Amino acid sequence: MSDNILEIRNLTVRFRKRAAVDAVTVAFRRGEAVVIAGPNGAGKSTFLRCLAGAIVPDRGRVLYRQGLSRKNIGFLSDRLSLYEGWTLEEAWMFHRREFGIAEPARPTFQGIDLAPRRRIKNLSVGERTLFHLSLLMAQKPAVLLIDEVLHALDPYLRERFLEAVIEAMDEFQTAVIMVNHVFQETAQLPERVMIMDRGRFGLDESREDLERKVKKAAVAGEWPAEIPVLFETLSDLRKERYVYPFREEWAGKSGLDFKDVALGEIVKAFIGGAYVQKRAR
Amino acid sequence: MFKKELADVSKQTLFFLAAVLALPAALILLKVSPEPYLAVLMPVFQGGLLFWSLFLGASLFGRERRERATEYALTLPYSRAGLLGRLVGARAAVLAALWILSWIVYAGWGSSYSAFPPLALALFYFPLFIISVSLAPLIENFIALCLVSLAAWYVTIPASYILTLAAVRLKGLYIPWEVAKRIPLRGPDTVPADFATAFAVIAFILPIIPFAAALLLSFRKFDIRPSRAFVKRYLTAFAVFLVGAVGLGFVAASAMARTSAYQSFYITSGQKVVEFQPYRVKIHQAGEDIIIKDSLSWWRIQEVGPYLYARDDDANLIRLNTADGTAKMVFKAQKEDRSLWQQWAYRDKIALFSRSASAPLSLLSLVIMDREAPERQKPQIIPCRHPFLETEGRLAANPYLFGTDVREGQAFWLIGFFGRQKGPLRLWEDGRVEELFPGESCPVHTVWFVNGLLLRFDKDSLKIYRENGDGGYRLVKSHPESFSFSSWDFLSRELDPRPVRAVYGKHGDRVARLDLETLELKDVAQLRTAVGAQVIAYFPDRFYLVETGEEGGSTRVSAIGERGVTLLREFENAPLGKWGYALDFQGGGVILGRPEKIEMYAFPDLKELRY
Repeated sequence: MSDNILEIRNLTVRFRKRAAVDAVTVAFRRGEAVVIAGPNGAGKSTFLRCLAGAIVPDRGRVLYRQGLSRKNIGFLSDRLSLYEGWTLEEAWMFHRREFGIAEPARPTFQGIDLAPRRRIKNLSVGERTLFHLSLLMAQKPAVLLIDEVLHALDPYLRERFLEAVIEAMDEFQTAVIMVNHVFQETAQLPERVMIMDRGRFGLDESREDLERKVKKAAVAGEWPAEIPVLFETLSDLRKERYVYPFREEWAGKSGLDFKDVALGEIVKAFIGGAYVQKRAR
Repeated sequence: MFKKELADVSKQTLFFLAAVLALPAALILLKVSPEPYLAVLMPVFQGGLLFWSLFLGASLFGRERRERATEYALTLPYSRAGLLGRLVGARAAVLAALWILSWIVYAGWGSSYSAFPPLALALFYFPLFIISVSLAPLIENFIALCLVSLAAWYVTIPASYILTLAAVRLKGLYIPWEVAKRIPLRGPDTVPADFATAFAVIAFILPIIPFAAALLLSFRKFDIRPSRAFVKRYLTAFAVFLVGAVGLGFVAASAMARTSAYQSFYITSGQKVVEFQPYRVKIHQAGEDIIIKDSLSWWRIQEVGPYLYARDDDANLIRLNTADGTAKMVFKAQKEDRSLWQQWAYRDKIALFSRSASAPLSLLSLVIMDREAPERQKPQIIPCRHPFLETEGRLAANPYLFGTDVREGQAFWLIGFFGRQKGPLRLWEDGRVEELFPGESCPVHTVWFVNGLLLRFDKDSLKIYRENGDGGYRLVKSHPESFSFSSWDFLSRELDPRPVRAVYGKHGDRVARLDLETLELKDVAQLRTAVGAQVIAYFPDRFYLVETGEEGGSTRVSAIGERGVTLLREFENAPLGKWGYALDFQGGGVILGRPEKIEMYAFPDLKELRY
């Protein structure tokens, strides 16, 4: 039996004539952590909004498996959309009622103390993100969709945020699908990396495979024609080339010094490669 | 979500009501408006309700847009239909509660000061809400949304009205309040009032069908982006349902116009069929038909000999000679006379009521003319003044004549009133007015004057009065039983007081005869069924029994007279009371209206009349 909790089939979303998401078919498993990256305007946020129900696809379907329902899907958007005029208490009561949450108290984060009578519009972006996450955590989400919110958090709040996400994965086997470009603290979180460009997933690999398949080497002399270059840095001082997919036999034969690349750098290379291709077009 | 919406909308509505209550007081205190408070409150309240229905509809996503919560609302665990139901349901509940409140205020205190009765208000109020709700997902800017909704409402309802009118016109009929026939509204005309009301209802309800259907069918595609898919779906559904609604309205108006068409015919005693069409009258007869280019009302026709007396569009009294087709104006009506459409013949006179343009509107006059004068003459005018006729500067009731006679060389006329639990009055030639039964109610249809006797009917008694020596009326006989008949000719009756031997009426499950000499009641026939049976009376001595069976059944018409009840004709498959079926008694016969056709039958034996 498949372990998939979300199956997306032939999903297409258009903004006028441009396809923001273009016939995407993909599945997500229970409990897996997925990071989606890609250049701006690639369709990442639109894709996530489709999964959350905020956007209705023009074509294709989002299928819920294993008893998944809208009540078990948490969506934390970069817009941090909530009724801004409400106090935290009012927002919690409303969210609790609408999502049928049994627990009387909202989950809290260590060291973060938000007064219930404060209005949402008066919170800082970081506080608002954490508050919204606390609402989603109360849902015991089976799927958590997070859209580029980490960059707005300071290191302390970011740590609290990630603790909560990891706890949800442990406790509820939550599948976390996040659009993210910040990998300083989160590099070890994703098990699967997806790179989106022009509405399609150009890459969908496990993190381990990806780290094994992407290497970089400094350019000195002529570059062997058989080694594919994903991206090369533009600096005149030190040119580096990122190789994908890398084969072990090239290491000795080419005489190049291939080095491992961190996830953040891998993602950067893929995004850079996308921009190069775009320029070439 | 529903609870939140209901709380939000209720709170806003309480502020609205507080403003509505305070505004008239402020206007009166600042001497901008005259008192009383209710006279200012009711128009403010009713106008405010229209504004509020627009506001409630247009604010469907108001809070979500204002507080940047649209995305959050769309990710709540509901389907789009569920979300829409919660948003609209809460508003509709408040809207309905407000409307009920308006009804209570209207019934309790404000009917004299209201621009609209609650049912008429509903025809504006609910469509405006539905149109603005429907457009709310399409237009984000609140002010633009309100303006477009208002414009849509303002355009579609007259368009729908014109459509229903076109359907009626194609049937050769017209509606009393046609725009083309001048405002103020007045009637009656070709289509009877209940049908005309139905046309108005159609005109108001039709426009909401495409708006409501387009929203329901497209909202599942609604999301946070400016979605072409949603707009396309909305416009497609709108166009399809617009065409459907137009077709439906056209068919409904057309069908209703057809079923009401029987009332634009009149069968004369000489068995000619007079057809009243817009702007012309056609007399169907043996040989060549006669066409008269005049727009006459089919309603309340007074037939005397070869003449038909009827009103034209300006309420002028026209004498139409059915023998040669000539038409002559007998009386030129004042503007204020347009709600007084009846006339009564007696001896060589014809009488009608008028309101003088120069005097206060409450002044009512009886106008009497020689019936067959070759040229228009100066009529005899007798002012009729009585305190209960005057209320707040308006004529409180429309009068009708039900009797006339002469005492000691002076003529008098007996006057009843529509829609009033008062009267009747006796007006003397010298202008004196007497209330015949001071302090007693006497509704319309319940009084007859025959053989010098005054008969009064109500649902459980029959009372007979005879004139006193002092001019009053004293009770001479009372039957504590139900005795009733329908006298459809009371609006244009020939009042000649010729002697009559008996009057017949429905008496429980029997037909009874009231002997006008002994004043005793005697049953003369058993009804086949008391339900659906009625006695039709033509003043003063023609009586018919109409018995209709269950749905799909037949209708029997019988003559009632000294020989008892004699069946004249049984009409198969004519369930009167069912939609589309009607039997109209006229001077020379009856017209049976069926949904698909009109049939005419002439007295005395109800032989089918073809024209």
